[in-house]
Amino acid sequence: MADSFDVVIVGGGPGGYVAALRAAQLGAKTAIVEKDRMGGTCLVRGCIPTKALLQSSELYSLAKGGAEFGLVSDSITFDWMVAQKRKTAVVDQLVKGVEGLLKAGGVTTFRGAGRLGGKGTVKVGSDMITAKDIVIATGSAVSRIPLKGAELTIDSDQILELKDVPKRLAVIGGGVVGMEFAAMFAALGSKVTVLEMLPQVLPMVDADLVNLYMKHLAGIGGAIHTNSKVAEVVKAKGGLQVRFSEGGEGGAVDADHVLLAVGRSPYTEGLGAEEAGVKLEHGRVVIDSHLRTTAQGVWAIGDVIGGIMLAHVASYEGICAVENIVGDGNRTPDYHAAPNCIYTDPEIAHVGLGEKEAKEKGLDIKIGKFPFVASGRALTLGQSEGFAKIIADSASGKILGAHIIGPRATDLIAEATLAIQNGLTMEQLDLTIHAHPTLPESLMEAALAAQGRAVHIPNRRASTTPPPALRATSPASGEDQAATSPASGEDKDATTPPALRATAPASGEDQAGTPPASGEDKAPVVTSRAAPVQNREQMVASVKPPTAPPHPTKITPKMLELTKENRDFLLKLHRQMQFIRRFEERTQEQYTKAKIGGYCHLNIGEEATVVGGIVPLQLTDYIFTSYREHGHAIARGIDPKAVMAELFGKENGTSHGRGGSMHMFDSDLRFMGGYGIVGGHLPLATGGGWAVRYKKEKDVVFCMFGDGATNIGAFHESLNFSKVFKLPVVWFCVNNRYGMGTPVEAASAVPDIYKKACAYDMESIQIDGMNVREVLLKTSEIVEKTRADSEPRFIEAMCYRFKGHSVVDPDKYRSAEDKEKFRKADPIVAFEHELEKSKLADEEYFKKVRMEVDAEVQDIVKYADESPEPKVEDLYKYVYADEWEERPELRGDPL
Amino acid sequence: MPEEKLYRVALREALGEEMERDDSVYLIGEDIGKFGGAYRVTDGLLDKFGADRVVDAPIAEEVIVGTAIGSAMLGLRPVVEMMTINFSLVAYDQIVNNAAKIRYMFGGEANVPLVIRMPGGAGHQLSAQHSHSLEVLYGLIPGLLVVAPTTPEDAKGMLKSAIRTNNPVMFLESMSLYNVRGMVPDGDYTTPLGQAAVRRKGADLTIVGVSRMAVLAHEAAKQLEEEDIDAEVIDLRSIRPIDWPPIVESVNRTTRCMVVEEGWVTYGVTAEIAAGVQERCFDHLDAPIRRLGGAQVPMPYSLPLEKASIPTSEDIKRMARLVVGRKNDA
Repeated sequence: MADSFDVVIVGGGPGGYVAALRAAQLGAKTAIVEKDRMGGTCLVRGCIPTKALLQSSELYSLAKGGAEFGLVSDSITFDWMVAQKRKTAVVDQLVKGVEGLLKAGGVTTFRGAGRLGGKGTVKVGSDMITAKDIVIATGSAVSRIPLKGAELTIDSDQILELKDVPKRLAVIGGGVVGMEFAAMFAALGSKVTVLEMLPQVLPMVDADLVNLYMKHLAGIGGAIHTNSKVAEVVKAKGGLQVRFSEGGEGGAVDADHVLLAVGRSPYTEGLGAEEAGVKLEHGRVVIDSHLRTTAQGVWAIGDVIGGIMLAHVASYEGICAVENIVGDGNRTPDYHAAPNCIYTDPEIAHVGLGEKEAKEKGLDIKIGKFPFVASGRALTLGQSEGFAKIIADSASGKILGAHIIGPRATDLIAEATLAIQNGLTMEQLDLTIHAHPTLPESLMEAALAAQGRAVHIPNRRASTTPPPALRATSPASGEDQAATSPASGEDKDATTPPALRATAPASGEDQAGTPPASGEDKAPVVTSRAAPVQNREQMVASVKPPTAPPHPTKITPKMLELTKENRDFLLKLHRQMQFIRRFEERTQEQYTKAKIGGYCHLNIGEEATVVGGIVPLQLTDYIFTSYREHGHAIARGIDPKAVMAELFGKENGTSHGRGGSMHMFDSDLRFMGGYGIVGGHLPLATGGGWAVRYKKEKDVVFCMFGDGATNIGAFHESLNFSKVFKLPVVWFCVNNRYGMGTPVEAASAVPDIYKKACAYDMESIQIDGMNVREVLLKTSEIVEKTRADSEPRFIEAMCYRFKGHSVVDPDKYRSAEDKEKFRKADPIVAFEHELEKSKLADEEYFKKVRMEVDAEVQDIVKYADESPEPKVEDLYKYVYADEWEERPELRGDPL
Repeated sequence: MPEEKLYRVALREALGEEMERDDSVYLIGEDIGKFGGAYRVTDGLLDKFGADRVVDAPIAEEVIVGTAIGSAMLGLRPVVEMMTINFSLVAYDQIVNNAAKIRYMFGGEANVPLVIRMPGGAGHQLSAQHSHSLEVLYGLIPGLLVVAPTTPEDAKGMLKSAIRTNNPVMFLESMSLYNVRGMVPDGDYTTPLGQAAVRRKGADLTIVGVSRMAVLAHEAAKQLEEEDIDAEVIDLRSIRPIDWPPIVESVNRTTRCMVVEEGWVTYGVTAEIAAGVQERCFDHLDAPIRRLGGAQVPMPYSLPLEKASIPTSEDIKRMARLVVGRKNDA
């Protein structure tokens, strides 16, 4: 007999049980399947037990220093087994609590491992449950790495079960788990040594916090080796020895136990996911923006989908998924204010952007810091190490991030999280009455400090860090310039994995373009999250070049007015155009040096259509484009390093060196490729529009092509098809007046190309493609109309390419006067004139931008040049997918 | 209970079951909905699944195939019906330059889970532009999987596999096979792509047949029994990749080989098989490998001329006798 439910949740962790309770609240007949104890890793083996033990170690530390507080005792000893027993009791109580909640909520519990049976069924042992919707919440398991002697190590599950406190503990991996155990055992008297491969432990935390923590750990006898690669673990001297190399030199640490803490991996063992049509990628379940998997009626949340692998994020996703199933069906998780808490001593917590990340994004920020040594409450607690730091947008004062190290930092972060989630400004925070004496006062003071109005510490000159774009125009900023390194980015490279891929910006909002308090800012929703995320540390490192394209959530005519309020946004557009210009010029140079081969089509002269066409799109929109697409890729936000590396044919290019100049691609940014057959990608864009309509989504497909493509059959078939089926496609023709060497009039019976779309009864406009503000505004209007009514529309942007069709084109078919005429209309020069006339920037500034972007591009060229070539043994990789990849019979190898 | 079903019905069941199983599967083609498909394969599916999933497209093959590819890149699983293989030439650019290459040229960052079904072959007086066997045009292209099932069981099982793989599959049907009956297993089963099938064990020679010619070869082999010729028949089933092990094993045993296709033998699938067998089995061969194919003319309209252009089981028997060193009477 099969039990049937509305919703079945597979996995009873913090994602699963919360989802189950919410589903039941919403009136769904709900079941939950759990093979172990209710509460999952968090309650049984993770957050809760470790925090219970940390409380013991913290009390022990405090008690040892108790004399100062008047706590007089002859000897204080620590009984590990008692601490363990208490930990177990806490866990038991919480597990029982969860079970009780589920029961009271009317959720049916099935004990055993759940296996998807397809068609809305889940098998649990001999039980067969059916459900209209299934939510996979199977969590994650400890990651293992191939390491010689790994069998001698213990993992984070096993360390919780130790029978005594080790005298010497070595920790491999300086992530959150590793550092928390390091802190705990160091406090209990273990000699702790941490070995981390990267230049910094806790890489997602700002360096000033980490430095302070490292000082503290060193003070109690711990040691941290960064840049250290572990070679092996061996048995030695009645214990173990970890051998490693640190910056090329060999080293060894003796230890009684070695903790291997290299992250966690999504757990789907025995779930039968793929058999049930649920696509996995590197072990994690692939989901769409609404948390749907690839199988009908199957959803997934929490660690099993990768991304931010934290309990509270899982709970949040659980609620989103269930409300999509039972509720209004339109919740997409927004991660921009997901806090991260690290229970070291002192505690560390952060939310939103860090200082480093904000600077890398080129944001104009203010920073305020308040040390706990100036906090009355911290002094009374006797815990005055650390500080609170607030990062905010200079212009609007909106709080972008908070980093705290110090007493109860993990609790303090809640206020900052609330502020960021709701788009509050520093002023709104500091005008809120904070009780005295309490620790949260420190956040208020940090907010005041950032505005130069701190009360309980001396105020420095406002610590604004001007982004590169603003430096030259503010005449008084001479001192600041020295402080900001000009876009060199060397330090980033050190932490960037060799296969650098573009990552979606951590937050979809753009300060300049966001109307304040719109309440609609959403993190970009990507089709699939970036590759296998095992350490959440890796995931936080979103390396953006200094010149990153702006991604405003909305374009309004007001935003494009040449006024002071809009200066930041306008200068960003200018810088982006200039960056693409310089990128293409250097590309041409590298081509003549034979570093770049094949055909190479440049966007020089078309920058207004590139930036103006792409910036108005949402990050959830899709782009299909032609072979002249280097600038398109960059304007979309693909890392220019990956674009240049692709031009160099390198493995870390956007297409791993298989595509080259004409075939850039990035699925996360929905950049669906550059194509080399004139007009051949228009049917694909039609298909993109079909898929969006089919899935009933609100995205727009933006298809870019040249004037030449409008004479081909595929163009007419595609326009017709898109209109017949009402597909949300915007056809964007970049009319640069020549199809290779043939002028439009000589090739097209209708030289006004926008008129061709009239044959298919669609709205069609012609715009000035040399004017970036016009392109931006008109494109935005058309795109948003199409989003609203799912009708295809057509834009013809009139422009001119300054170079030949491709780099090898001698360009003899155009007259010198013609070229001169359009040179004068250079979209960048024209925009600079506008900016200058409106007193938003001056020639000195433009010169500076040119120099800065050139420095950036030179670094990029260097990066591409030094990047690895694809391996010849991987020649056949990528021809076929899945089980057909690299099958010898598909190569035609003789015998 | 497994029952006998028509080849076209087996295909229809595969489509219906896969659409039922997976919402991302949809059909697109010319007159496949209201009209029910030129060969009635999709008959009735429109009523069941609606116009969003059984799409009557304009007669515009390039955009049909391009739409399918683009939507596949965004996660759908389109199954295209080309009314006949001849029309696929209009979409050849999409198939070769996009479907087959997208995964590779984007370094594995995109997949194209696409099936294009199309009937080939001749024999209905449809003349030059509606009668073609173009296996070789697709078999040539890296990035594609190409199959040609010949039985109702395979038609259903292989179509399901084709819909489920993340690779583009050219699914070559034969207009003369749609009315063939055969046993079809019950329930949800799949037949793997990429595998040849030994249809008849034999000791004297190996006949490798492509598409409908595998069926004729089987008939011919049964008749050759009376002449004391024991032919092994291998149904190639997969044009790309070619499943060499059963062919090699067979030829090494029988020491003689002939290959039959409906298309043109010069540069044909038979040329590829013959070359491959020669490379792999040279030391075992006791006779030259022979090839049989359609007459190298555009398909004529006249019935007697058309008949003369398509290999028959008599032709196969005649060549088999030659390969085993028997005299042909006539």
